[in-house]
Amino acid sequence: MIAVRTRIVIAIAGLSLLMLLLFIADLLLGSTHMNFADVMGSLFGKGDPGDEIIVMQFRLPKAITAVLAGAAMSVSGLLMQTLFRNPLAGPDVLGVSSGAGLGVALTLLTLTPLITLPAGSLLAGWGLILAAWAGAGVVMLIIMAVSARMRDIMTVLIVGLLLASAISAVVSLLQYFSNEAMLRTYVIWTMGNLGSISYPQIRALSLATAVGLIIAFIMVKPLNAMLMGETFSRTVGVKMQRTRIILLASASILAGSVTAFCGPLAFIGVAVPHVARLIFGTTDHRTLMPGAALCGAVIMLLSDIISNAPGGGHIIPVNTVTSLVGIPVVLWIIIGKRGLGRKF
Amino acid sequence: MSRIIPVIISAALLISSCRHGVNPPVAEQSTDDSLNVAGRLKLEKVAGATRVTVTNPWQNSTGKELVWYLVPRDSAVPGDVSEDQIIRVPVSRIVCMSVTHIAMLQALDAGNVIAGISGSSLVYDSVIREGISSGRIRDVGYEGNLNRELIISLNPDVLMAYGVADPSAGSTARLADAGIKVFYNADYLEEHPLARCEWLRLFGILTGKVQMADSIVASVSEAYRELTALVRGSAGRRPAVLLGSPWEDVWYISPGNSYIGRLIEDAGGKYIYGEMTGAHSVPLSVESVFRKAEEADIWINPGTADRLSDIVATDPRMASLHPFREGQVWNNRRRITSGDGNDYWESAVVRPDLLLMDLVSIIHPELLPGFVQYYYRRLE
Amino acid sequence: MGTNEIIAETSDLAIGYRNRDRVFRVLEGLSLKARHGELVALIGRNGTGKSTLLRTLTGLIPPLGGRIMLEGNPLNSISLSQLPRIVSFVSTEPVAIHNIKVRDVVSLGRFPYTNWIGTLSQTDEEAVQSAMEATGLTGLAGRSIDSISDGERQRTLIARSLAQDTGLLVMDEPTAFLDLPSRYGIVSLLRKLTREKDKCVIYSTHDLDTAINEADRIWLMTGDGVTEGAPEDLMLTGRLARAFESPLLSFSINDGTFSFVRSRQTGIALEGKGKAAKLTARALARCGYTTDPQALLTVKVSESAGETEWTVTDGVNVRRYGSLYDLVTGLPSGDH
Repeated sequence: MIAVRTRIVIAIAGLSLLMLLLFIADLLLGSTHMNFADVMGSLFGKGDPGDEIIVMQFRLPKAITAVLAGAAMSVSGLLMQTLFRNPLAGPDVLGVSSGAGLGVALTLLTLTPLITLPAGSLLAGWGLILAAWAGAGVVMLIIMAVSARMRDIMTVLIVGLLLASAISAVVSLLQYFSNEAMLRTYVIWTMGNLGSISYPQIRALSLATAVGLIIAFIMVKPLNAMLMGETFSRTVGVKMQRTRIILLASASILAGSVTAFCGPLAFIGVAVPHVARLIFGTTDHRTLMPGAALCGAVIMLLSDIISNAPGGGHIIPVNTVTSLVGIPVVLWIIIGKRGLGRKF
Repeated sequence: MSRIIPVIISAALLISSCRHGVNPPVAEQSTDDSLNVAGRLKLEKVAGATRVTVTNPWQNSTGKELVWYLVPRDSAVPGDVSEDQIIRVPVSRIVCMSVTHIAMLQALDAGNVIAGISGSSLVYDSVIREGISSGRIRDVGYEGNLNRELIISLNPDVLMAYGVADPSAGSTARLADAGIKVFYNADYLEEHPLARCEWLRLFGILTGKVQMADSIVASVSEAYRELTALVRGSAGRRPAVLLGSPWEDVWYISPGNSYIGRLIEDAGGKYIYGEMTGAHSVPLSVESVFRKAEEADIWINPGTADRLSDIVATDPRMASLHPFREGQVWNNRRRITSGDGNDYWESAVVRPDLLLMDLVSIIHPELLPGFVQYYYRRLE
Repeated sequence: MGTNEIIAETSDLAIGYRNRDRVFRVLEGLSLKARHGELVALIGRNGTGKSTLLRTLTGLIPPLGGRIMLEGNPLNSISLSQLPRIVSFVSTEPVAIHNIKVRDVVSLGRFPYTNWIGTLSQTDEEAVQSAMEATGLTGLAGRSIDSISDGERQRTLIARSLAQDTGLLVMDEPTAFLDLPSRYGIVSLLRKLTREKDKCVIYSTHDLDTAINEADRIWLMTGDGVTEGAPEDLMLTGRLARAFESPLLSFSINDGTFSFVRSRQTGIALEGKGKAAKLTARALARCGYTTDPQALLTVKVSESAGETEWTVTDGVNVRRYGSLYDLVTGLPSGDH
């Protein structure tokens, strides 16, 4: 018992430190490498103005977004894995990311955008984000309605996957009828990006992430009970219908918001909870939830650093990096010697 | 300074006839059998017909040659040439897959042979648009929804197409099997503006307006060359030019040897990525382009922005760029339709001299004082 | 013997499922009781509805009619937060989690008592500890649940129910898939819980032997309903026999067990005494022979110097065998 506690404390301390180091590294590295003194100077307003713009307007928003997106997607994935009792579940099973993609596709790929906002208004520039959020929101409502009607959680899972497939088909259709320029803008969106988010947008993302994380954390006790099965949970007093809807709402807010601002981020939601389980050695959500959030932030920062690795301004799209990181983890889950694919 | 006047006069004459098409000044130029600029097009006279050789008509192709014989209707077919390589000229019906093809035909006053186009919302020319809405000209679609049956029913003498990748797998391949003469036009792959314009000569032969085509090409080329000489002759620094706009943290950078890169250079500007060469545009991080853009004096072609506020809406950080702060942001959207039509993509291929004048007046306003741009507009 | 008060009682209970407008009535008219300190075994053939009854008792499935009283209160008046303190349930679902420790599983039984985040208080820790002691799991507390045996895993789930500190523990097939010693171990544990902690345990099983021998009360479920009583009551009235008998199976009150029905049997005379003779009779019965002192065919069982020997004679030939297997293989089959 004591050994377990020590392990958790060390893991949290270690991951926090790693996150801080990677955060700073993410500020230092980019198309050109800056040194620590310059970056610190820029952060506190005492640096060279050219550097300051780069750090404050480009690198800092990107690093903050990486932390938020990593934490939000990981916790969303953790909720899905426990809710569906499936180690391969992730935020995409909800179809929420697909919904966001549909909103974006309708905006970019149709000749008249879904939301045309007057360019001078405050909302200009938010058009795409609002379209994505709306798409994610609609899917979330559908899933929650299905969950309220259906007893069996597996039905909800199947509906979510089918919805994602249907949306994918519609988007393919839109792409089929688009010309190259439109296609290119859409495809670039699907590659995910952490950098083109302004400070007002970061504020909105932080708020959404905070709401999602708080709701998720309030549910740790029922989540732990759900590890033992739905029957057990009900017999110890968990209100399953209500709990399910709250969990779906939280996961959708987290994943939908990140996707609306950053495009679909692959594999983070599925892979990071397993990394956290490995590091912390526990399935207790009281530890695992903050642990997964921390791991997610670390891995997202690392992915951002790697995406700038080619140097000279050349970049690897973020989704490529997260896939390269996430796929080995998912493979390990399925094939690994403990055969985690069969059970948690 | 005195050399400007003939340039302006000939340009003015050319512009004044731009309402419906382009009518050249009376002086005719003789036909020239060889071209020295368009690398992908070769026209040779062969026994009363013209042999057209198109080299490398799609991206990433090497050593690929397509040969056509344009044979006048009353002439005999030269040698043992198979029927599917022959196009009888002048043609009476053409389907155009690109608006540049439309522009070339209109420049020759031959728009009446256009039976079909692809992508009606992209067309700028008002006569053609009127033809589309009246039903005289049909829209055959593009890519996945290419209406092959419609094309066949239009019975064109030639389908003027362009291939992006090897078309054997694409939607146009099957048309050849149905007996349609699919001509893969490589004008958009030419890197020099004058080279693109030279393809007008192909259309001249196709429409039987050889002399008109040749003389347009000649006067455009002359005007272009005179202007470039003027620019080169004037002393002074070359302002640095930034191109393009960011999207989702990526900025696609055209290489220095691209069409627009050359135009900037000929206009006396220094493209900030001029040293980068290649066949495709390269995605770079917005941060790195932002840094480099500090050197720029002028910003050209910022995507689809019509106002400075459009740029700010897409990415507010761009407002701190030097050209933005100096109000030196110019876009090629002066002549647009309410749909997606933009004359820059259409007639500019035939009038690179006008394009060049626009750019010279933007980059070196002192050389063309009082000039009002044709395709370009300063963003407010 | 404890308080002996009724903890669970049903009157005219109808159980089944509702699927939109369609109603599947499984059984009705059930009037049953269970008391503190009682071990109740619910037995019956497959598909009669044992799981349905247990799930209805614990409130997981709504009854289709009639009443259920727990601790003297109607089930439908007990709040969702109060019910887990009265009855706990162990279902047939296997534990699908791997990385969880035995102690943590048992601690989850304290769910109805812990705070919003699930922190265990001193009382909770004590309940967990005593539950593990009662089930003999203290040595395994730190082991992960997939590294222990099936029997130990079942005991863990029982400890979890125990930690939930309910008067009534309901279990669906707790001895399924366990080996013989484990099955006996589980049932004797349940027995101990009723005796020492005054709990009432209602469990369903297919294991008739242990049920008949250890349960205080049997709920015998057939297609017509549920009969309850002491095991011997049901044997006496012949209901137990009738519930399970088939052309292949018959119940012997003497032995208190079921055995195969032997149809045609040949007579064989058996001479011998003691354990060896009894076992020889069993082997012969399996092969279709019944003991008949008048029979011509005779088997003599003799022991000398610790070795047993069988001699078979039909009046003419004599054969000797050194093991029951050889004897039985050597004899012609008696039941054709």
